[in-house]
Amino acid sequence: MLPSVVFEPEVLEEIARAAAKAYPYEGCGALLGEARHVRVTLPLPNTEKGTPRVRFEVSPKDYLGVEREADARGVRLLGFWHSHPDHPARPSATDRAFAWEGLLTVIVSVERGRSADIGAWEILGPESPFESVEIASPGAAALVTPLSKEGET
Amino acid sequence: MPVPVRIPTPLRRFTGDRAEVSVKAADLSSLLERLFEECPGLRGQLLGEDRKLRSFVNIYVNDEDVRFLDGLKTAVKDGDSVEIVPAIAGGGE
Repeated sequence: MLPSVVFEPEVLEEIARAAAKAYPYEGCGALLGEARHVRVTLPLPNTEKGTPRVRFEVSPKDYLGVEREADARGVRLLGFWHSHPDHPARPSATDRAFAWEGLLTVIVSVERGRSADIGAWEILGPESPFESVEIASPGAAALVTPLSKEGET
Repeated sequence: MPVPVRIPTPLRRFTGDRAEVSVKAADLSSLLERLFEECPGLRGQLLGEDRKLRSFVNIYVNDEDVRFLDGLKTAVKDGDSVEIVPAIAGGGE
């Protein structure tokens, strides 16, 4: 079992709002903090041109902006979140293909415009499958229903 | 003068947590070789077995994607900035 990741409740609320606002398209954002503690999210534009209802992309320019912001705030980039509109909060094969060791993959399910579920995953090696990571966030249990050991869909 | 190379967060475990590594080189190919001499773990992250840039990795020289310049033959000189950017994408399907 991987160590859990603590999310500030306000961060989960901000992610839920941003994911719902992006509906019916996928929304995305960066997660900043330190040592498995997410303190800030930076919502980002989904720059996927072709199929933004089922795909997301963070532009290289926005990625570099996130790293500069992390440096300026004295925190680290811990990972990225994105939403799955009307689709479970489970990583797809595409999510796995783009996963980076050392960055969390956080997925929010948005059902009919409402953020309904959230889960976190990470990989431990270039060929490894996703491992589920428990989200710990006191006071935000309604949104956090960690999925246990879900594989790729 | 060495050229500073910006290292993204997920690759800093190969650079002793350094965000920037400076190496002397005249083009991107030799720059990467110098970088790999200093940080051997980066090679497999940036290049495929065909020695080409992996598709999930972007390298920018002075804010230009090297795929739209001369690829690994892109010239670098004093004062240039080189940035390694991981592709961040995914989605429900």
